[in-house]
Amino acid sequence: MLSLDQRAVVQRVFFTWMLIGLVWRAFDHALLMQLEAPVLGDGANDVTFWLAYTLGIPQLLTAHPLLAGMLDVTLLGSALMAIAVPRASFFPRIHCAAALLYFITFTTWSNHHYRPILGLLLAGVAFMFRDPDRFNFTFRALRYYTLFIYTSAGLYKVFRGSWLNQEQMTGIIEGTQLELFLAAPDGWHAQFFTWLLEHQTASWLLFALATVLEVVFIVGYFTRRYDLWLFATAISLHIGFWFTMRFFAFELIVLDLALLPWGRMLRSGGQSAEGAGSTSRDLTQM
Amino acid sequence: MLNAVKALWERTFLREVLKRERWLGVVFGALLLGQCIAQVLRVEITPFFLFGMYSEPIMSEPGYVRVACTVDGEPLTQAQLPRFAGELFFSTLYRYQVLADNDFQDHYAATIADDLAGLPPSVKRLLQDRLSYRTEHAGPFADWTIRYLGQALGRSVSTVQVTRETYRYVDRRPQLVDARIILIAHARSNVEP
Repeated sequence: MLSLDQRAVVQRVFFTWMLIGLVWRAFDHALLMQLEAPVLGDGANDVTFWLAYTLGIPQLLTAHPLLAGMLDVTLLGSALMAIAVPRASFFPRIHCAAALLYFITFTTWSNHHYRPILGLLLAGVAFMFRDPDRFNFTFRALRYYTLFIYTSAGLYKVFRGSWLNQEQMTGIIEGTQLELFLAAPDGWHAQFFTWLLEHQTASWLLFALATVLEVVFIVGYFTRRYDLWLFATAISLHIGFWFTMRFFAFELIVLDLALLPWGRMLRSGGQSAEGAGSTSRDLTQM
Repeated sequence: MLNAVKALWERTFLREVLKRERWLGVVFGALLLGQCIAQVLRVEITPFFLFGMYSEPIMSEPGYVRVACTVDGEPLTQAQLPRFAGELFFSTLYRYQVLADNDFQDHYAATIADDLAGLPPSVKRLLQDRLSYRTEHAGPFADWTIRYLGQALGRSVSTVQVTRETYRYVDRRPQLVDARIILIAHARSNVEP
């Protein structure tokens, strides 16, 4: 169980990661004010998005620069304040509400149901609670959810049969790397993809390996002993996805941080359970 | 058997939360139920995350569609834009290309009829009307391509042209099979064709 001092450190780490993700988006013209009031959106098959679009929420938030700017400032400002004032739960709450609106609005207008942005919302949920019990339970729930994301991705591949499909990587590469083959056919990445297309068994083995590594996360439901290994596996998967699919979900990696053994990493010699308890009393009176 | 299930339940995380923080446990239980329903029905209901990550079997296809964009006569690739701007802009162009392929009939009518068959017809009509692309969006959409690229590229943009190209792989290399222009946007809000 994390004490409130440890919680403050973890909050700073999580929100620093999220802030970096948001600043990256700002530099990439992907904040709401920078979208220039888009016209063509798509809620894919997501019922929540349909509801938001029908109610006019994404349209409202991008049609008025002032509103869009306010949401952007709230999103960035709340992440920054969550780092600056790590014992308060007010800023994570504001951040989560703003991140949900941003996720729905940006993803609608990007016409691509890019789910990893959800990491910016989900990772903040545990920090909405100042009470030590509630925080610890929610942080553990976040860990279970992270395990679920990977396990389900692996099990989907098993039950849908894609992991036995020898053409899987060929189909993925041909479909997603067309632009790269045309723009930089002689670059190392295009050469690597060509090699994978020429060696279908090798590319299929990589896909099967990714499936196995994803299914392995099921272990985390039964023991926390291998969490550090699972964290390393998650990071390896993300690196692997970039090499084999040029897909890098920076916003999703923040959830992987929930797999780190924070209690052990932040344990200091003088800290005792009583010490943590007194801190928690002080903080709950804030 | 019942005792074994009960003993197992007593050791679960959810049981522990319910015992110590009842309302939080109820929220977790509701979220778990929602996730299970979303999983079984295979519908997306944010924030219930279905991270398939290429889990459907994907086969090599005879042809692949690409949208090519030129800005003031110069080709613009996704890689030339910042990552998120490129993804947003080109994904939008791909959506426009699919609309153009289907004579600008949006997918929502079919999707609503299939996935939300139980809804009253008036609600279905409202959803379809609000969600679908309409012909009056053509001009504003063309204007948006000019505005967004102007902002992302940091200079004024006069003309954007979008071409639908079809490729097939020959000896592991893509070969152009067919190309046709699907959008020409000018800064003065004209749109062709």
